[in-house]
Amino acid sequence: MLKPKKMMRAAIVGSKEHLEAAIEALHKLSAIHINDFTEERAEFKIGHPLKRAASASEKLLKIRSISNLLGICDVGISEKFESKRLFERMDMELDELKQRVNNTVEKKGAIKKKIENIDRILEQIQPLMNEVGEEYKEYDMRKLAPLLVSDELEEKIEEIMDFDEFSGDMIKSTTFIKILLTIKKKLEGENEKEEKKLKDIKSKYASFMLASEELLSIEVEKAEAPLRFVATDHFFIIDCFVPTKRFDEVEKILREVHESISVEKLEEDDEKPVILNNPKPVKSFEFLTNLFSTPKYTEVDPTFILSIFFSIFFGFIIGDLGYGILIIVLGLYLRKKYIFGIGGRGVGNPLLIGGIFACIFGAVVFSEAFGFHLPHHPMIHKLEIEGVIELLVISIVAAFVHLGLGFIIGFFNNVRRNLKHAIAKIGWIFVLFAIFLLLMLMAEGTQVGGWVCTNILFSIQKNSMDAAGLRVPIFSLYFLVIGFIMLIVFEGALAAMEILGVVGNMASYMRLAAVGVAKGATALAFNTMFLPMIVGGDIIFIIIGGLMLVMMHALIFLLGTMSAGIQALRLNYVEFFLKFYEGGGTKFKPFGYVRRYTRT
Amino acid sequence: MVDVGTGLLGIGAGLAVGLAGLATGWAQKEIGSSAIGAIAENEALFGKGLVMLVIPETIVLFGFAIAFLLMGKM
Repeated sequence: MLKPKKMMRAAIVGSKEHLEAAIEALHKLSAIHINDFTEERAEFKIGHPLKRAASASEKLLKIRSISNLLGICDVGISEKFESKRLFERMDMELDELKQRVNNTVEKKGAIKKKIENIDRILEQIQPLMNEVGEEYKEYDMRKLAPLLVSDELEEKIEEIMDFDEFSGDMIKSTTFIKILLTIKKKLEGENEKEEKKLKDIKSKYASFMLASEELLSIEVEKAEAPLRFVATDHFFIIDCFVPTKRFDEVEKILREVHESISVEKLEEDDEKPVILNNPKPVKSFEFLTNLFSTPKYTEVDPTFILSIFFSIFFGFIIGDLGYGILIIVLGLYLRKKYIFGIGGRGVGNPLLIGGIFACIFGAVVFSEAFGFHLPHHPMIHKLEIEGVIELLVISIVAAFVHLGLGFIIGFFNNVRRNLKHAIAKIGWIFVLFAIFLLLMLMAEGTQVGGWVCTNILFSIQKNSMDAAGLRVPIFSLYFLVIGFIMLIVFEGALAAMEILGVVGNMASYMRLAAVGVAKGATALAFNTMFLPMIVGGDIIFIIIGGLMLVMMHALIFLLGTMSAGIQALRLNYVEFFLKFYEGGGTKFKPFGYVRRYTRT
Repeated sequence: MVDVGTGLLGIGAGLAVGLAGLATGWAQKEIGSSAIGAIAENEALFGKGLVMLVIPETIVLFGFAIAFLLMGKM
């Protein structure tokens, strides 16, 4: 769960005559990540693409250009095309389709150009008319027209004028404009007709095009795969990574192709591609981890811890039963659908789980829904000064746990590679604990602080001394000194300067309280502004007040969800990840294809 | 009516949050536009851009802390 899936490096060696069959089998299995071969040494060269690559690429190019012209986008279609029949159909229909689409698009383009021409002329005439005024309206447009009108258009104007009653020498400028507008309208009609033709083609061929594109992409990927292999005149070598669990599968399927193909395990290598390995509810949080950076193969995968803290922080900031329920609904919706390009499981599921936590915090701790109080007394009152202090103390506890975990993971990340760094992380934990102890003793008078002091820190001597106006516990001082010395010894004097940075990090968790309070206060403010209007009894005020109340709560909901999401994410990215995370790993890209529109 | 001292405390608290907020916004403006530029070139930089963007937020939190301490004295 905290480590990526085990991966191993392998070399697949075989005789060239089995290359095509081997590619076919491997692609179907979709279990290897090809390590592209780039160095060209005298005895080893990259392979040549299979013969069918050229024709498949050419067809793919055609399909893509047609799709582009028609504006075909990814749609869910129910029917799955059979590969063989699809190839036959492509051979039969593709060229003709391309011709038809090209013709229509060209025609449309010509019409559009003419319309633009007329628009340009109108644009040029209009200011002239305004300037010259009435006189100009009688101006002989025949004199002006050739200056403005391109050849074709001129013909058309002449043509129309022949049938027009105004075929005398003088054409009034107003008439001229009228003629232009008539032509424009006619052209627009034609344009629409072509547009409709394209639409018909699109709706008729969309699924065929999508399926063809998929099939050809697969075909090209397979046919061009040898470009990523090592090849000599007689055999090929595929340098690849395989998840350790699937190694046997790969070996078996290649044996079935031909028994001469061998799969060799290669020496270990730290830079392996990464498949994150998390149980199902956590899986969708991998999106958030990857958004920051994919972890390296040797690193701890922080997704599981991120999922827990993100959800709790998010819920804590929202802390409102009403909004929580709305967020759950939004999360359920976004799991499947997209709003403004935002959506999918990676967004929906975190929102859903965060929303559940928001409901729990709202119902149990803050006793609040849409800024209104629920019947039972809240454990912590968000908008009273004592309550805010409690929230701040909770923030400090959260900071201690979260940052402490960050340092612990940092220790495990470094312990094999750089023992000095690893030990320095323990020094940081000492410093962190010293600050935590100091703050907790300061907050002993609060509910949360008191609870922590008596139940968790009970065994620590509370002796303290006065320093710089603060009551500094002796133990805090001890820890600070130990941590300080460790940092200087293992990371150098400069690192010790960063102790202030840890204080800043802890202060940063105040946002948990601050954003939560701000959201609660805004909700309360709108409620006190608009509720009296509704209670007042006048029907107009009830409607206006009700509308305003709904709108304002929608606003708080949107801004609150966004800021809570970003703040919760930030605490994980900035405060937590930077304690241990390196990132920059390569994602495992299987050689294969998930077919959506076709079947073999 | 509250006395002048309390009023001044209130104004001080407001200034602490307000000015710190402005400062944060100012800092974020620069970082945000650069980050968007970077993301436009390479989408993989989103995470790093976000991290850089939110760093100045700590400033406004310090403002909040001061305002809060002042309000405690009211």
